[in-house]
Amino acid sequence: MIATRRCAFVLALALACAGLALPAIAAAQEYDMTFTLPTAGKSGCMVCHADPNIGRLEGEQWVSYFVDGTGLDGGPHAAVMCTGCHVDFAYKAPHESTTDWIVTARLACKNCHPDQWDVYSQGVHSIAAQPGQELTEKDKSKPLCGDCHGPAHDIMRLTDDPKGQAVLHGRGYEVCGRCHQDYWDSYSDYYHGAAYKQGAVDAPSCWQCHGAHDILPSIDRRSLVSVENLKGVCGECHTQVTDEFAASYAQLVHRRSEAYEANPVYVFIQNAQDTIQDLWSTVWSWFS
Amino acid sequence: MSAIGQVDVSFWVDLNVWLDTIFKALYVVILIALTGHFFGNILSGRVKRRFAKWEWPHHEGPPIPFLPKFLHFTHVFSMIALALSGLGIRFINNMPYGSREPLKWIHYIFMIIVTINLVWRLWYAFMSSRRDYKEFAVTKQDIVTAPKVIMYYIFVKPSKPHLGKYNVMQKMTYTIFAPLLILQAFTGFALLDELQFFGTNMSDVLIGWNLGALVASTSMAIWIMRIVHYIINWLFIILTTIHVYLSVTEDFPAFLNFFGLSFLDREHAAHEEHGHGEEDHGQSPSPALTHGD
Repeated sequence: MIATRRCAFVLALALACAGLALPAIAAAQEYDMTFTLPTAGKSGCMVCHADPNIGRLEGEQWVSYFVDGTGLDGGPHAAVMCTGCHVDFAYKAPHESTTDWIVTARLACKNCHPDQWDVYSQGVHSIAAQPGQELTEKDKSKPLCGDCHGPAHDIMRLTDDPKGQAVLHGRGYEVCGRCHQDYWDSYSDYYHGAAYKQGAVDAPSCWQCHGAHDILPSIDRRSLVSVENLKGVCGECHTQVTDEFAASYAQLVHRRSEAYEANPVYVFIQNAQDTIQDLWSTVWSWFS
Repeated sequence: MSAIGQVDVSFWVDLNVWLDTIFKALYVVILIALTGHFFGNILSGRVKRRFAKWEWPHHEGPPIPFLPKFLHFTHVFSMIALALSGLGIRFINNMPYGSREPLKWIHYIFMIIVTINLVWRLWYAFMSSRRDYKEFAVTKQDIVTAPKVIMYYIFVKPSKPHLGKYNVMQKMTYTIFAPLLILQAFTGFALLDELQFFGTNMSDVLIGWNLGALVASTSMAIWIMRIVHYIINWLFIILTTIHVYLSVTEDFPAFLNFFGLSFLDREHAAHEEHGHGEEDHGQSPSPALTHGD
């Protein structure tokens, strides 16, 4: 008798739980975010985005929406809510927005870093289109904060932080080179580019000469690498720099490779080397 | 701007590239030539006579004192360290310590050792009781015998004139080492644009007030000094490579003796006999040790 009552109680409890859970399951299928709204922490978003398997098939490509919070928690933005950057978060799911939320997130930096934004806006990387205007192809190719300082969730502290500065210093290719491949390739002089690419911390990164937020074309007299300002830039590391020296040596910084290619002896040796290698490969192939 | 300063800026870029290319190619050619020469030594039987039968030039005169040997040893070690660190700074291949600072400090430390060595050796050559500078002086006899020495090295003649300690090519090479070292030390110190010398910049003192004035700035003068420093570096590498090769192949016992690894055979010297592969040149040999190259 007692056993029968216990069974009935358990059954009733199970039914009650199921009755309560069903709407929630249904809501989850409709991505009802009411119970996971971003709060002061990130626990709301990370309920889903901490799952390494989270993603979506976009076209024929699987796009991961996993967020590794390790870098975020250890970085300067640990206390910033997800919506602090993803400002167009619509509080509903799917997270569809009227704007490109990636672009929006990369632009959101200006809300907390207005000074840097002001300087950036005057540089060559600023976007010409006014708010509300359609972005041109050129505008779309321009980097936003997160493109250089990213990966967005792993941004490191730079101010008064040697570790963060060292990491950024070594990311020349990711920051500049992947868009300016030709300049990256030609940055190979003896004491600057070649050493930098080998990881020398005492060799200058691109932005140490060209500037960062205030970067301008070299033909612009306000540019740090304009003829008028080269002396000052070189003088950051070198003593007794004159205009003549700066103008002369600056030619070497991005011209060494070009000079090699134009050198007839070097070209002859390279060709001879290639010929010998080909010959060796041919001979080797006979015996292998 | 001065005449030199008006040179097209691309000239300096191209000059650096030309120097890299020419010296690297030249060094490869020299290595190939020395390898060919060694095969010549094998084919002519010189290697067998020297290394298998241990027939080497006889050595005469008193043993070389400890001091020049010590200076030679520290010089060799320091020059290798300087060449490797210097080329490492210019042609960096990997960065095990994250920056070039360790290489620079290695270069600075051995620069000081070599400079002290140079002063010490010059004092020994000109002011000590031994005063061996005369052993390096090219004489009329050296000039006369020079073609025969060259013929011997290129396997045209089977023997070379017995000339005592050094032949003409050795004397010329060793003699040129001294001014090259002085010039190398000067250009090296001139590159230290951050070093203060009694409150004045070292580069200014050495080149800024003369060459710097000529080429418009100390910085440009430093650049020229760096190029000269680089050229001399290659000259040292080339001459030292040939020197080591000839020392080992022409007079290996003397080579070992200079590093304290063997004693030279002097029994024949007492009877004024010449070594294997040496002929009398008609005059008394210099009272010194016969040495390789």
